[in-house]
Amino acid sequence: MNQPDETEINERRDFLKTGVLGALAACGSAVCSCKSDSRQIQIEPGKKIKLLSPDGELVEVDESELRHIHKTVGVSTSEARQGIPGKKFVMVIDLAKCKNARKCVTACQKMHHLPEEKEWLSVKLMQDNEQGSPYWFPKTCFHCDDPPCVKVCPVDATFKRSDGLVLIDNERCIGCKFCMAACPYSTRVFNWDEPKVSDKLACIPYSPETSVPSKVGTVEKCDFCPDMVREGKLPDCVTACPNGVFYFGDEVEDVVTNGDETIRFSQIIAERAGYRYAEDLGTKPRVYYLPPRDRIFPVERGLEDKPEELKERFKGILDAGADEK
Amino acid sequence: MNLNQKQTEALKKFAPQIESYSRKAMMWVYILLVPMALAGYALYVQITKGHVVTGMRDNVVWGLYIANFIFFIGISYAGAVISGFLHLLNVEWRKPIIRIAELITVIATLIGPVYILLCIGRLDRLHHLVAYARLQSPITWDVLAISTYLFGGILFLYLASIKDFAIYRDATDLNIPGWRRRLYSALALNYQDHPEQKKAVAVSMNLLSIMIIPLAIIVHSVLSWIFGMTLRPGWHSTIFGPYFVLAAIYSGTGVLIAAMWIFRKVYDLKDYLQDKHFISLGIIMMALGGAYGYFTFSEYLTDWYSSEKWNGEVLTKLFDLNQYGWLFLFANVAGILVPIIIVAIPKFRKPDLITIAAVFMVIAMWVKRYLIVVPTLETPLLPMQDTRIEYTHYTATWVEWALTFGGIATFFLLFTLASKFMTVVSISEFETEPGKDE
Amino acid sequence: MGFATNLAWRTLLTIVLSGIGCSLSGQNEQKKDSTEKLTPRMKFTAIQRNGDSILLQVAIQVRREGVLQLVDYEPVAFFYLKDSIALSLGATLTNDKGVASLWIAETTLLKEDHNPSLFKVTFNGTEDIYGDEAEASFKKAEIKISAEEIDSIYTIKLKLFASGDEILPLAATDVVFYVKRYFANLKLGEGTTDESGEISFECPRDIPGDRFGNIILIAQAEDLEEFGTVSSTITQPWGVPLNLTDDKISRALWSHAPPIWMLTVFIVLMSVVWGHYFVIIYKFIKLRKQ
Repeated sequence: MNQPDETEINERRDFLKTGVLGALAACGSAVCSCKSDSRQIQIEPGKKIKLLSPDGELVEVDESELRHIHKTVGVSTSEARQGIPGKKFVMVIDLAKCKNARKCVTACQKMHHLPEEKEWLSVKLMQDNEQGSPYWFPKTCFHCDDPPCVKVCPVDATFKRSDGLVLIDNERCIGCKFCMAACPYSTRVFNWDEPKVSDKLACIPYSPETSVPSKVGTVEKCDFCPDMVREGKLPDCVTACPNGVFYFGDEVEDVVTNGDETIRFSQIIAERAGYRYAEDLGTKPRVYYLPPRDRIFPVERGLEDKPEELKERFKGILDAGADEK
Repeated sequence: MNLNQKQTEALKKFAPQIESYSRKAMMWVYILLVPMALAGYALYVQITKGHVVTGMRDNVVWGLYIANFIFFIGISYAGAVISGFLHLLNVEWRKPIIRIAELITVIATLIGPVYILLCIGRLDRLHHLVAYARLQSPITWDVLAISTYLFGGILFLYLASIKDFAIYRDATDLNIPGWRRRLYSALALNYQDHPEQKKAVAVSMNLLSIMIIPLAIIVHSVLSWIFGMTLRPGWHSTIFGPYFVLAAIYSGTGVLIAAMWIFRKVYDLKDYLQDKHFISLGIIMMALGGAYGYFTFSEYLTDWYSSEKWNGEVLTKLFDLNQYGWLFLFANVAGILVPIIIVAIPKFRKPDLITIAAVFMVIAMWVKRYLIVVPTLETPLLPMQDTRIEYTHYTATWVEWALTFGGIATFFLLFTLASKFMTVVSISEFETEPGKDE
Repeated sequence: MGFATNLAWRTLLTIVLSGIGCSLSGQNEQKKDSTEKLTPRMKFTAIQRNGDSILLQVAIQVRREGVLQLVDYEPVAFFYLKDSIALSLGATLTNDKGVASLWIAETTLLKEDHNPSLFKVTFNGTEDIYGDEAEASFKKAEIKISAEEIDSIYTIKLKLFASGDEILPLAATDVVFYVKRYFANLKLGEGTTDESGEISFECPRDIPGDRFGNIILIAQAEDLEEFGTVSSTITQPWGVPLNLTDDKISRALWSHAPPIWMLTVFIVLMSVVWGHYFVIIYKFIKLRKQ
């Protein structure tokens, strides 16, 4: 083989970047098709890269677009209603490790292009009883096996799949909000006004597996990132957590992982007394919690370096604890 | 059609009402158009800007609109009582008030569902309720029940009015324009008072009366199950089905009394809407009030006695004078105690006082519906921990109030228009039994 | 910095780090420049799999404002150094985790004479990151893996050796035993090879497998000084077969199709009520005709 020279390397780089664009373009001729029939692409000021589009045309794309568009492809709506066969996804959240870093919250918002005020994953400060110590409680949708939200949807917009996930088709949703009234865990949010969707986001063909883009007048919630899961990748909240709080996996395989640690699901639940929140409601959640015992951080760390507005949320809980000490 | 003496007198008395609009009537209509116009503007704002213009947010997802919906469907039960129940019992004194009762049913059932539509985020997808309907959802049950109920109500009103249309058609001294006479003629369906026709109408009406009763029970039960089937404190109560049905009949009676009083005043109908009607209805209202009070007491006593955390939290909100305490007090005192006391004491058993009690009761019942919807939604199981006040506490915006008063104004307007189209007291009901003296 | 200086730096580092046993990672310890550009940290590793392929992997990170960040979607090129000539093996982009990988079918790249082969990866840098390169060397090794059921215990037998003209067993080396799972691999055991480079592991009987009960078992000797990571896999029908009928969703309150009794009640009720309505309307029509 010859020693490669500069130009060869550059061409190779361009050619390879096409591979990335190819995947992204599959996410619906991402940057172009819905604007017009032509191959015109929204060009913003920034570094331009020449790429081959899947149709064989040389196009120029702003470099930033490669990264900011939702990274994965969504399957069609009808396929999204079938689950990934042979799987039953489950999540384990280790409350002993959570220190309200909120990297999970921001990763989820970034992944799904949500504004800062909209939280599909929220971190609550819970105190089980007066004597107990407060602890940080990250809450996703529990994807219940007996979901009260799915029961009451009049148009089948929210549905339960064979792989355990409860998803929303926001093209079917009529916005009656019955599911929000029925969910006892306050996990669903509503688009009260037109969500700020950038032009390029609006071009992405919607899939209930990506849940992007949001639509006004519809309900949405945490979806366990089925588009990532289809590719064997963990949801962003799991990988974003610096303390490895979230474990995600398949109950059928009996394994959950937080990216670093891979453990047998049944074993960890048995050993660390995993429980489900409000078990007695009978909704059979698919998210298990490991009790906040032998914590690695004191709970006050969760308020360090946080904006005042955030600290306001927990006024009255941590103060009360501090006073008693 | 041949009219007996009573009917001829009645027709003469009521003719001016349906012949023309007096100046007062026109003024009244113009006054009603003001809140309706404001409501129209509010609707425009809501449609263009989205539901963010209301006070509803992620925790309190249902507010004034749903309270109004329950309220209007509730008061529609006036017809169920009078036209259904009392019809089957063949109670004589009910005859002059049938028309008013049926009109309340139809008009209220037309307006109520509009509030559901106002609460729906994507009106452009309304057809999904039919195309993709899921049978397991209480909303599907509600859609089916209310459409069935509305259809039945319209059918009943129409059935009861055929004879009257025939009378208007044939009344030569009734000063109405030709197009109206032709309209009455078409609506009368060639009714000539033949025996077979009489029988057909009577049988159909009996059939519908029997049908209306279970239908009425199902409709409001289904509506109550939209709340009852959830896992929320204050909603997940087994009493909700019968509770709502009873509340509906109760408030329907109140609206009926108020409507009677208004028409009696405005059209000078003392001979037809007599004191005895008020007293009889008042006694029914008192009995229903007692039953409703019992249900209320049972519900709250049970919740208060046991230590369950979430029900306790809702109760705290209802009892605390700094939160919903005053509203709760008003709803129960004005809504239950006052009507019972006024009707119970013979000295107070007069049409005017009974009507005042009824009006307060109706307002109190609206407040009660608000107290059912909102405090529970402000008490989720997980702490809200949200600094945005509009997310933790519901305050209705001007859009919602405008649409509320617009709906009430529409109710009055439709009633006014109806009273101009047909007499508020059904003339055909004065027909005597064959063989009896006039 | 020239190539020679670079090599000198790295040799020094290799000696320093070899005691910890990670001498294969080529780390760049350049002084931070006074200009705006940042220095990347490159970790260059290799996995020798099943004796017939090599996965070259480089993870690039950069410290921006005190925070360690991944360098994603940047091109890197891999080379094989033969007699100081860099032969291009291929180029890829780093993924969203900042890791670039290249699979190579192992033919003659790794020398059979138990001498190390040298590999290089280059990164051209970006607007604000310096370009850099890293080198790594390793020798050919493999794990021979076999499966047996001994006394009704599922046993995996491994032999770890440096392969070439002669077989040199690797004794006293840590080996980890995994089963492949959907998102990650589950560790089933670990141990150390004996003097003849052999070790055996027991595979539990309760591991869920695919429809036929197949599971993929992996044995890995991780981050060895001279050999990189050496791994081997085998597929065995030792798992619990998957029952796909569990996927079927039966009629329930929360399913798409309602329970039969609910459907029946609804049909009966609606038919009765609307049936009555139609009877009445029919009477209307008859009334009209009279």
